[in-house]
Formats: sequence, C-alpha cells, structure tokens
Amino acid sequence: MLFSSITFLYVFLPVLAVYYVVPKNWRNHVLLISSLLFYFVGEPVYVLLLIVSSLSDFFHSLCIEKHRGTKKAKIALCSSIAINLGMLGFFKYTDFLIGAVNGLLGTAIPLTGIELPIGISFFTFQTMSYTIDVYRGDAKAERNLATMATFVCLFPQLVAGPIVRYLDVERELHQRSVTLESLYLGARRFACGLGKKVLIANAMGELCAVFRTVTESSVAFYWIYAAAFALQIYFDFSGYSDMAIGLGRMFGFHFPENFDYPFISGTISEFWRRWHMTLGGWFRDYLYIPLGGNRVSRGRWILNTAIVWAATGLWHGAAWNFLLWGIYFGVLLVLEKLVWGGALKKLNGFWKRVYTLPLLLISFVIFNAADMAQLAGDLKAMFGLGGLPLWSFETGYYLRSYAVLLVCAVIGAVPLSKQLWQRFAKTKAGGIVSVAAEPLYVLAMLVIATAYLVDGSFNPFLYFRF
Amino acid sequence: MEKVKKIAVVAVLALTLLGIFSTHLLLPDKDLSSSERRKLEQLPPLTAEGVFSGDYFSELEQYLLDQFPLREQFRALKANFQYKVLGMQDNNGIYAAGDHLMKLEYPLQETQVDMAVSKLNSVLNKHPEIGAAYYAAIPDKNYFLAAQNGYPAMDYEALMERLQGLQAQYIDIFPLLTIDDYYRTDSHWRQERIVPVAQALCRAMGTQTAGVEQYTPVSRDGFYGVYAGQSALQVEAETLTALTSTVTDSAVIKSVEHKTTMPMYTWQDFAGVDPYDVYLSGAEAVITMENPLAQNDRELVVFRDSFGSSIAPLLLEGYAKVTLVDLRYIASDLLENYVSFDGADVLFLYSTALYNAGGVLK
Repeated sequence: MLFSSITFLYVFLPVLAVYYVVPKNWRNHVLLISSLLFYFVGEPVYVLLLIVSSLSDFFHSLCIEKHRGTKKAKIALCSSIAINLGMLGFFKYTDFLIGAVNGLLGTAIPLTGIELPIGISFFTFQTMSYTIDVYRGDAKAERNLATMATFVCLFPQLVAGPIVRYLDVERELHQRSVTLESLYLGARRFACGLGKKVLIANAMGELCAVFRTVTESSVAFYWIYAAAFALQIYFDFSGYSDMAIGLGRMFGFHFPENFDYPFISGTISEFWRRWHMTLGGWFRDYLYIPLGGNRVSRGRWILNTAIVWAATGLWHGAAWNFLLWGIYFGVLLVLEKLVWGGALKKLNGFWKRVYTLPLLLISFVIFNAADMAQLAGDLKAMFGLGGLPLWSFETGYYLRSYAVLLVCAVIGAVPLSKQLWQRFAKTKAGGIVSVAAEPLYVLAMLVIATAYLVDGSFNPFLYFRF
Repeated sequence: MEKVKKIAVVAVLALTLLGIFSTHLLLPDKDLSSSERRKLEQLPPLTAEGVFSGDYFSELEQYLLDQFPLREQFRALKANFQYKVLGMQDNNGIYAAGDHLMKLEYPLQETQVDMAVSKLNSVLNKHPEIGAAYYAAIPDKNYFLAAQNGYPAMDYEALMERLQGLQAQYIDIFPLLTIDDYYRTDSHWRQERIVPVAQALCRAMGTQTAGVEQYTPVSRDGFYGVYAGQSALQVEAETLTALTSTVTDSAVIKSVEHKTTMPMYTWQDFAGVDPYDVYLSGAEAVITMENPLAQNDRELVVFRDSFGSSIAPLLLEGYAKVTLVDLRYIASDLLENYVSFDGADVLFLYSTALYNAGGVLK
C-alpha cells in the first residue's frame, strides 16, 4: 500500500485510530496486525516472507543469546544472515546473475521472472542488524515473538525506510507514550512528507517522463532532466521518510533521520553523510568497519571502499547501472580522500557546490538509466556529443511549464526557508502567526495533495523497487 | 498559544482523515461522471482470487478515487492550483488559449500517418469499382492555437506531405477554417460555421450543396464540450446548433450496423455522455443517408471520424445517397458486405488528430 494512496490516507489511517483507544499493552498487537495487512495489500503472498523473517530472527537471536560466546552462537548468527541474504539474493539478484552468466558465457539459461517483494532490501537489512547486534552483545534478544514481529513488520518504515535498527526502537517497542507533542510533530511531519511526494516528486517524475517523449530534445533539456530526476528522487524518498518518521512519532516511536539537505553538500563524502543516512550508517557499521574500515593499509582501504560502494550500488538494484553508480561514488570518495580533498577544503561554499552538483546530477543520470545503452546516450547528449542543439522549442516550453515547481523544489531542497521560518517562529509575532499558519499548512498539504491524488494517476514511490 | 497550535495541527489531520472516511461511507455511490464522460468504478466484489492476486486492492483504490467525496471540486482545485499557482502550461495535457480549451496533440507520429495512408489506399485498391477518390484533412484546433500561443504543435506541413501518399485527389479546406469555427470547450467544429467547407468539398467533387441561408438552425444551450470536463476548469456553457433543411428533414437514414432507421439529429443525446452525438447519433460503423429530393443519382462514401457526423448532413444535397463509414468500428475487409462502391465518389475526411493516430483504422 502506498502512503500517498486514497486507501491508505482515508481508509487505513482512520481505521487505525483504534490504536489510541485500546489498552497500551494491546498497541503492539494493533500495529502488528495493521502492518501485516498493510503489506498484504501490496504483496498478498510475500507477506509470508515477513512472517518467516520474524520467526527466523526471533529464534536465531534467542539461540545466539543462549549460547553467547560459543561456536553455536556464531553458527546461529551465520544461519540467520544466510537466511536473510538468501531471501534477498534469491528474490532480487537471481535474474541479474543469470543474465550476467548468459552474457559472459554465451549460455541461454532462462530467467526466472521472480517478482521482487516490496521493501525486501529494507526489512532484511533491519533484521540482520538485529541479530548482529544481539551477537555483539549490543542488544538483548527479544523474548516476546509479537514484539519482535512488530519490529520486523512495523508498517511506517517497512517498505521504504528509513532503515530502523532494533537498538533505535528497543525501548519504545516495550514502553512508549503518545503525547500531544509527539502527535503534533508527527502530524506536521507527515503532512510535509505527503506534500513533498505528491506535489513535487510526482511533478518532477512527469517532467522526466515527458523528457523521454519529446521530439526536439537539446543539451539543455538533458541537464534539466538530470536536475528534475535528482529532485524527484530526493523529494520522493525524503518525503516517504518524512511520512514514516511522522507516523512513527504519532505512534510513539522515534525513527532515525534519513536526509539532511544533501544538495547543499560541498563534497561527495558530505553528500553521503546527508543522503540516505540510515543506509550509509548500516554499511558503515555492519560492513565497512568489520572489513577494517580505514585503519588498514592504503591498498586494503581502497579495496574496502570498493566493496562497500559496489554493495551500496547493488543494494539499490540488480542492474549494471546501479553497480556503476556505486562504483562511481566509491571512486569519487577515494579521489576526494587521496587526491583533491585538500584542494576542496580551500574552496569557498559556492565553488564547492560548483564541484559537487554536476557530479551528483551525473550520478542520478546513471541511477535512472534503463540500460547501459541509454546511459551512454544520455551522458553523450549532456556533454554535447549527441548531435543535439543547445536549446529547442520544447525545452523552452517544458522549462516554462515547470519553472515555478523547479524553483519551489530547489528552495525546498535547501534549509534556508526552514531556518528563516524557525527564526521567525521564535519571535513574538512569529509565535502568534504560527498558531494559525501551522494548522493551515497541514490542511493545505492534505487538501492539495488529495486533489492531486483524486485527479491523477502518476504516483509510484521510486524506492519501493529496492 | 503553543498548546492551541499543537491541538489545532493534530485536529486538522484527524478531522480531515476521519471526516472524509465517514463521508465516503455515508454518501451513495455514483454511476457516471458527466464531466469525464465515463462510468465510475463500483465497489469491487470481495473474492479470494481477487484478494490473493492483488487485483481487489487495485480495484478498491480505483473505486475510492472515483467515488471520492467532492471529487469534482477536488479536481477543479487541482486544475486551478496547477494553472494559477504553479503556472503550469497545461493540466493533464489540456491547455487554455484565450477562451478555447484544447488538448496537446503532438508530435507528428509519422508511422501512424503512414498506417492511415496504407489502410485507406488498400480500400481503394480492393474496390476498383470506385468512381473518383478524394481526401481532405480537417485541422484540429492546435493548428490555430498551439504554436501561436507558445505550445508545441505537430508539423502540419510534414503531415500533409505524408498524406500525399494517398491515391486520391486532395481537397484543401484549411484556408476555409478559423478557430472561431470550433467550439471553445470541445475539439469539434461547429456545424453552422462549416457550410462553406461542405460547399467546397461538393464543388471539388463536381456537385453542389446548399448555402447557409437555406438552412434553419436549431440550437440547445448548455453545451459543455469534452475538454470542459477534462480540464476541470470553470467554463461558460456554449450553444450547440444543428442545421435543418428540407433535404435533412426528408432524408432517410439507416444504421447498417443496427439495421434501424434513425433521425438526422438525435436531440436526446444532448443530455447524454457526449452531446456532440446529436449529429447522427455519434459513433456508428456504417450509416446510409438517402436523399429523396436529390437532383442526381450520384452516390458518395465518406470515410470519417466524429467530425464527419456534423458535415455529412450538409453534403447530402449534392448526392442521392451518402454512406458514412467509420473504420474505427468496422474492419475494412468487411466493407464489401455493407457498402456499395459501384461508381460512387469516395471521400476520406479525417481530422489531423485521427490521421496522426492512423493505427486505429481497422
């Protein structure tokens, strides 16, 4: 089920109001049942995977704790990880591997055509972090199966993140409170995320879609497309994260932040501290550091970086362009550290963005390519090698048509307006104005987003495919 | 103050979600959307097969979208927000230029045009008994509106060049039309304004038809064209006019498909899904119109789209019989069973939009 669907907003959520009237010790059960229903609506059969995953990690973590410090604990950990990675590998990478083998060896092994269960990359990573934390002794094994299953299946972040680790919510799974403050913050955050998704991300998606259909493209249109897709994926994914975090607050949880205005980054390494922060943190803690991190020889560090970024790329999708995307960032990070990092530090903020933004736009063109041939064509066209004019009539038309939205999206992608509002809200006049402005803002987001949903059909969440 | 704000924010969210949920439950479902001219989804039946295939939930979402409370108002809000706040040039491909609404129709689909040419030529080749063959293209409103108002438009010159592949004589009607000859809220032309077009066609085909002064207009107010609903904008209603004469009054019209006779103008359709269906009942595969007052025994077969429904009555005076064929609803291979081409003139009369989607011709 999509957060930005009428079924979710105006059927699922109103029914879920029962959460606030049942006794507190029933709340996990309400969340568990509603989460399974939420997933069932999108994946009626694959909901079994969630149940298997919950049972597997519940019993494995108990076994790990029981045999802590022994070989049995290690075996249980390996078994748990193998099951999670096995599920992920089978459903996500089987056809990619078959395709690669066919391509390399000239074989004709038929593809399986297995459909990717929604959000499998998110929930397998969440559950793996749990058993690893139990093994490390950072977390206690959960002894209540319903509580464990609630963690695994918790619908706000189940299918598109943020990647919530058990440690993030361990206390709140057992005891949490819903206050006016948490409801207020959650409602505001949820409405903001809905607006980001429906009003900006979807419109940027339409611009990207129309870009592929124009007859008179231009070099400029390719760069507009790159910017539009970068904004689409940012507002889509951060909008979803906002909705997830907002819903979590309304249910009494504190989910980790996932984005921190990544497009203001002055370096690529800063970008990855601000973009999909929970994924970056996961790979850092469960792959990069166990590999030795940066406390190893230079050659080994480069290898570690290559492994982590190849894995990051492939996490996003089982296709060559995602692998290339990850390696692209890995190479840039190595170069920043070893070659031009010192020079970058001497640049002022403006020139740092002149360095960062084109590299990021190119990265998103790699990310969104349907295949390697399209990617090559896109990159050539961006740099004037596609035989296209610099400008075309259609470029002007669509730039005019989307100009206001593009400007709004750029303003929304930097923290200035938020900072100005927060500063104003702290003044006496701002305090008075915000009493009316904030409810009106929430109402406007809800009503306008609903109007767009009722009228339109362009509504996919990009990160559902991961 | 701070507490009031927090309560207000939470209340706004809760009341909106719960309010719309309750309203949805209480309001009866509707069958039709008159503005969009389509049936609305009804509550899907709950079956195990539907649930486990996931179809039930997609149908449920569509049902909820279609039956959403204040749906028309929400659509209007979106359209106005899109045009007036975001300054977007079109909404769902519909744009406003002056007081006209139109749907973007571009780019030129060369393959589609070639498919149309090929299909129509195959009709000519299959029926050597045809007398003379002609073709004309009716410019869609974009021809007058798009480029002039900064909207992308198809390359009409290239379209006409490709149509030269038709093995028929071209009749140019472009110079006879202006944007004022079309309804503001609809894609179609106005029958009361196209008498000169009918005269030009008949003249080119070696016959003649009546001038505008020989017709009596019959009008109905409250006409909203197809784009009025699709745009979801507030627009003024128009007046739909049909021209009658002794020829149209005495004509004998038959639906070959339904084997029934029918009136030239079916005014009961004015209140239906598409009021433009007033002209010859709208979509019909094959219609014959006989003219008992004809001064000759010539016959004409018009291959047409919906534009043809409104001009056909004006062509009738020049012929003893006019047959209208809509190849979107009947395969060209079946025509010999229903249409007599023996010595008849053939006129391919389609809008540029239809030529640009020529693959729909069967």
